[in-house]
This record gives sequence, structure tokens and C-alpha cells, in this order.
Amino acid sequence: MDRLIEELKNNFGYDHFRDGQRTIIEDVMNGRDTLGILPTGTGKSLCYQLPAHLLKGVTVVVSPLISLMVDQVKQLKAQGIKAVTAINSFMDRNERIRVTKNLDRYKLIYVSPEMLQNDDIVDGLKRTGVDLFVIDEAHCISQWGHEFRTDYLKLHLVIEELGDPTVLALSATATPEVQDDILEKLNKPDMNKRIHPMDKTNISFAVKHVTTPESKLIEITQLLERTHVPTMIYFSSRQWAERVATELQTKLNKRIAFYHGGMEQTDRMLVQQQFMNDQLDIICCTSAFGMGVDKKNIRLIIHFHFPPQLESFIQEIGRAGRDGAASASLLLYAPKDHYLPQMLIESELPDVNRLPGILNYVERKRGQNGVLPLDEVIIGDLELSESQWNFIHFQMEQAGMVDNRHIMKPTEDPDFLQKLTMLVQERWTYKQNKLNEMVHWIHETGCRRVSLYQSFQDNTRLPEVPCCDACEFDIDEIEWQEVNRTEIAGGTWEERLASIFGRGVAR
Amino acid sequence: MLQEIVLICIKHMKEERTVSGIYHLLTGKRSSQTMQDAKAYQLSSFFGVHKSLERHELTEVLQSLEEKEMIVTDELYARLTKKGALYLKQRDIQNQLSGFRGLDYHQVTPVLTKRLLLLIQTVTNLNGKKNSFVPIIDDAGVQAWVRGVYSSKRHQLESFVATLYEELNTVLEACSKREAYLFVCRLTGNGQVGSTYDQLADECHIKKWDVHLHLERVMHQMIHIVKADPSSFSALSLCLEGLGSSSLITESAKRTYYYVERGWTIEEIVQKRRLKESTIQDHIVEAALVLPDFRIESFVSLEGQSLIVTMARSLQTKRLKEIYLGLKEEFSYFQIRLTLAHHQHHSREESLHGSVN
Repeated sequence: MDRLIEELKNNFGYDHFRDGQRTIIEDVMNGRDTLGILPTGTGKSLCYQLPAHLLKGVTVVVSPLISLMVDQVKQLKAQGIKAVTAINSFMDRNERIRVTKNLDRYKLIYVSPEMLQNDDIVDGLKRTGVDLFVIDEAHCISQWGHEFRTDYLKLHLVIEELGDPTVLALSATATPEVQDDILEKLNKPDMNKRIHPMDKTNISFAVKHVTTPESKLIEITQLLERTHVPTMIYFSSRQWAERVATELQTKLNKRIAFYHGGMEQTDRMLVQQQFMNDQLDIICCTSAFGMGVDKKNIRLIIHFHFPPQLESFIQEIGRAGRDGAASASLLLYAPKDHYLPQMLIESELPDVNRLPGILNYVERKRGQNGVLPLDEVIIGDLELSESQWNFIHFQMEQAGMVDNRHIMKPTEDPDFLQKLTMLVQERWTYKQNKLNEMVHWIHETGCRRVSLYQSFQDNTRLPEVPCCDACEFDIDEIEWQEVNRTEIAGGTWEERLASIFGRGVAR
Repeated sequence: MLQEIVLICIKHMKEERTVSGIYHLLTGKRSSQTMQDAKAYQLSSFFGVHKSLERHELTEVLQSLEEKEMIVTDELYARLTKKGALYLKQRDIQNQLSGFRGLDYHQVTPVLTKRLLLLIQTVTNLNGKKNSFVPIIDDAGVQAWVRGVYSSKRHQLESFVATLYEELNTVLEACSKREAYLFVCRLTGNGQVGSTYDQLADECHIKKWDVHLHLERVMHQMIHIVKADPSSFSALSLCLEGLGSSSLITESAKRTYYYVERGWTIEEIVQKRRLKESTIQDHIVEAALVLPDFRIESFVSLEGQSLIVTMARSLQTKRLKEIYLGLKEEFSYFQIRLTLAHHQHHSREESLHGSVN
């Protein structure tokens, strides 16, 4: 047995690598900067978890999703890998100071991008010695990515500061243009690319056009009356997720719950674990659900609302059938459905007509004390959304007008205004195009599988299941029965308490 | 249950406080004003009993009470109607609302709840030889605490689990059947995952906010029972360790108090601490509220205090503006607040029912 397999077996309990993992691991072990594009659920994280274990120095993983970070740390610890921690802004301050002082105790350190703006943490990492610098969800570095994060643009500076360790950039979805952008923004044009096909050969696709939200509900009810499999239903609003969960509960004899970012932390955790533990059949959720949830037997992904770009859609349907068994995706579309994502785009980008006023506001602050007020104050004063202000602030930083909170030079510059206007329009057009691609896919009359994946890879593999509703798949024909039930002790509180404590009832 | 608590609040506050005052009380806003209100209106037991209550939920309750003609409201204030007053007089309503100890325990329950949930998940899983599970509680402090307990009990895990089980049984015996049921349904362990607030509300056909309140009361009762006889509850006492009803005074107010006790003037403290005068005044009022022995003569003369107290009594109000005007603006709002706060300790025993018309 070779060494990598041996280490894999000893530390993670697997007998063999999955597609694509091994080449990436060998690359980074040989010190080659690598861009890895691996579909969700194919074990992306192992590509750095195993090297982290084998390399002498520390492995740093930048991740934008705190919940994902925390989940992974938990999972690793549960597997017995203890030298791992996560540094993020939700961490208790004392805890953070304690961890920062003892960075050399860890092999694997997850860190949120904004924490890398903290000198203490960067200095600590520098002292400890970083061997591998991993950028998870690397598409966030690209303005063309669907989750652009301005903090990611400063990562190349951190990498330099840390003495140029090996870089591994990972993403599940990145179009060729995003891939190029990642290389450019990291200032690593010669990065080695490992792109793996993202098409799912065990998922069948269907889209249904209906007239109203109510008819969506009827469709879902009919489908779930005859099909009994673990199911996720995606919504773009919390209210809808709750409403449909409640309605389905009255119509179906199933265990249903909703999940969204507005719930209390413990309740969110409970719903996730109930679903994992087969105590629930159906989850009605927003895109907040699913990060780090690795349930193998999800069979059906229904989109009550569609996401604003194909990348998110691909990611969400990718949660189905991780065990390789036949699964399906159903998207329900009603004529007015594109209004909501449209409004979302508008709330993300500032209105070009308001740009002069905004620059004037900043100019006045420059006259007063040369410092920008807190983000919350600016957002309130200018009635902007957080992402609208972030966009403007970032552009001013790029132009050298502001440095963090300090206003360095006059902001009412006509050239800058023109450039900003252009950028907003460009970005708006881009997002609009993304949305149009999604809507276009919904109205596709050719093979859905081919058109879904064609911008991400050259060839689409032949599916192992009926392909799509343009080919030979008919969602109305599926009648899957696959119920895994963990039964919960019912009855009195005494019985239930006894069952949790694993003993017979005392009385 | 929330409905009845809100009614009581409206009754006691007698239109002297806006509905925001009720909201701050129930969510346990840590301001001297809210704590002062809790004591002044004998609503201490409900202080902070539902910390995650949302504004619109309170509005919903008020609307429903208005539809039932138990209260009348305008935008800011609410008043009890005859029907509402009669409803509250029923004996079982009074009983329904006993057992809360908000002001004493509101800071303890969140941590205690998390400790219990995670401890039970951990020890029942490990005792059942299920060694891999995802902790139900994220909080790093609570996780560290559970690790500590586990490592000290690992060699006698079986008996520790048995003790914890017996103690929970005893505590829950003292609760209503419904509340005991809600509590055990929240628990995760031994291969079962607990229920969310929404699921419990559905299952028991009650409002989600009432699930919160019922569970909060179970915790208050648990703490009360355990503290009264710690030697009989070794496992649960362990869970309370380090959570003793911490002093109500905030850290910042403590520092202000430190200077006051050393004879500094407000202006000097403002200078020293670089805080606003009004903030320092809040700290002083806060100190007066929780520290019965705190002397306030350096801010209001004894004579002034007696004038203010007399005026408040004769006007039958705690509303500052009326007192301020009644005394012909002779005393500042700060002096009035401070005096009322200080004299709370001495007039508190006007009994709950006696003082209410």
C-alpha cells in the first residue's frame, strides 16, 4: 500500500480516493499552486485535510462561511483529529486571543477572510510558518462569481506576507471566466488547473410551468403523496418556506420542518440534525440550509423559487444523491417568478443616479474630520443596503480615495464618477445576464442536462438515470419509496426522559 | 400565557409606561430604567422571561387582547378594561403566572439551558457507546465546560448519568405535566434529536412564545429547587456552578460606582471615563437600584428626597415628568430618578395586590 492511501486509511478511514482528490493532493504536496474545481459532495475538503496532516507547518483555510467552518471543525474533532481550530468574528474575544497566542498547537486553521485583516493573526501565522494556504469557495474572489466578496481581493497580499506558501484554490462551481479571474486576482498566472466534471450522472431534471404559487403547492402535494423519499424544497424567502411547510403539514402525512437564517441557533441545529437522523422527511428551506450538511440519501430537490444564477442551482441540486443512487430535480416556475431575483439585484447595486449624492456625502465627511462614519451610520444616512455601500466603498479603496475609514483625497472627481457609473452598469448587466441564463434554462426546449453544464465543461457525460424532461424523464411517473424512519419515543414525559437516558421507566 | 403576563404588566404599569416598557421588561433590557420599572411596578418575576420575543409578536398579543375587549390601546399606551380586570382576578390565572423568578435568574437560564442540552446529549450518547455525534450547542464556552465535566466523570459515567436522570425526574415532578413534557422534548441524546420551538408549538397547540415561557419557567423552578437543597442535587448543582445570580450591576456601572464611593463628582467621572454625563447618571441610578446601602445624599439632599417621595406618593405616579412639574422644576430628572430608585428598597414591601387599585 502506498503512503497516501495508508495515511488516508489511518486518519480518515477511507480505503481509496474519490475522483480527482489524489492528483490535487499530490500537486500540493509537491508544492505546486493549484486551482481545483470539484463538484459539491466529492470530498473537496479532503484535498487539504490530508496534506494538512502530512505537512510540517500549518495549513490555513480561508472560508467565507462561518457555519461551514464550524461544522468542519466539529466533524474533524469527532473523527479524532484534534489539532484544528476556526478563527472568526463570532468567536468569543478571549477565546480568540488564546487561540492566536497558541497557533503552533494546530495543524489546520480555518479563518474567515476578514480575520486576515487582523495584524495579530497574520503575525502569529507568520511566526508559526504556513506551508499550505487554502482558499475555499475561491469563486468569491471573482467579481463575476455569484458570491463576490471584497475581502477576498486582499488575499494575495496576505499570501505574500506569509512568505508565499503553496496555494490551493478550491471551488465547486466556476465558469472558465471565473477561473481566469481567480488566477489573475491571486497574481498566480501559472497556477496549475485541475478541473473536474460537475455534471451529476445520477440526477434527472424536470421543470414545470404553472400559473400561480398555489398550483406549485398542488404539484408538490401530488408528487409527495406518491413518492416517499428524503426531500428538500428551496425557497427564496423565509415567509414562503414557513408557509409551505405549514400547508404541506396539513396535506401530507409526513414529517416536515422549515429552516432559514432567521431561526434561533439551537433550533437551526436541531432541524439539521433531525433531517440527518431521518427524523424528518421534508425540509422547506432557504439557501442558508445545506452548507456542511452531508446527508447521503437526499433523493429529491424541488425549487419552489429558482436561484438567481445557474451556479447556485447546480450547487443546490448537487446535494441530491451523494450516495450515487438515482435522484431528481424539479423546478417549478410561475410567470412572475423573476421579479424577486430582479429586486435582489437592484438591492445589491447602487442606483447610478444616486452616485453623485453619495460621493458628495463622503466629500462632506472629508471636510469635517476626514474619517468615514461607521458602516451602519452611512447605510442609515444614505439609505443604502449593506452590499450597495460595500460596492462603493471597495471602489473608492481601489481608487486610493479611502484607506479603510480614512478619506485620502477628494471624492467628487468626475472621472471617478464616470468610472463608478460604468462599473455599476457593467456589474448590473452581468448579474442580469446571469439571471437571464437561469430563466433561459427554465425555458429550454432541448436537453436540460447539456444546456445546464455546457458553460462549465466541454462535454456532458451520459447519465445513468433518465436524463431530463426533454429527453425521456417524466417526473409524474416516479413513485419512489425509500423511507428511513428514526422513531421517537412518544407518550408521557416520563417515558421520553427514560428513553433519552436509555433506561426503563422507573414507575 | 404571554397574554396573561402582558395583561398583568398593563395592570401594574397603569398607563405610566408605554407598551415599549412592557417589551423591554419581558426581553430583559439591561437599562436602569427597565430594572427600575420591574421593581417599582412589582413585575420583577417577569423580567427577561422571553429574551427573543419580537416586537411584532407583542403587537399581535396586544391586538388580540384588544379584540377580546380586555384592553384598549392607542399607539403608545394600553389600559385594562373592566373585562380584562375581571379576567385577571380569576384564581387559576393567578396560579398560572406563579413560579417565575425573572429578575433573579434571567441571566442564568440561557447558559444553564445550553449546558444541560449539551451535557445530556454528550453523556447519554457516550454512555450508550455512540462516540461520534455533532454537538447540538455551538457555544465554545459551553463545550469547554461539558468537556471538563465529562473528563471528571468519565470513570463513573454510568452512575453520573443515573444521578442526573433521577434529579431531572425529581425537578420535573414539581412542574406541570405540560411543562415537563415540553422540557424533555427539547432534549437530544441516545440517538434522538430534540424538537424546535415551532415543532413544540404545533404539537401542543400553543403559541411559540408560550413554549418559550413554559420552558423558561421550568428553568426558574429548577434553579430554585436546586438552590434550596444543593446537597440533594449534586449533578444539577454542578450545572449551576459559576452561574450564581451575578450582581445585576453592569461592569461599566461598577467602575462609575467605584469613583462615586471615593468622592468623585459627576464632572470628574465624566472627564476620567470619557463618557457622557447622562451615561454616568444612568450608572449611578443603576447602582442605587441594586445596592440598598448606596448613599445618595451627595446628589440629592435628604430634604429633597423627602419632597420627591412625597410628591410621587401624592400624585400616585412614577412618571418623572409629572413629578418634575409637580415640584416646579426644582429638581432635575436625574435627582428624581435617583431618589425613586433609592427609595424602592424602603417602600418595596407595599404588597403586590395591595398597591394595585
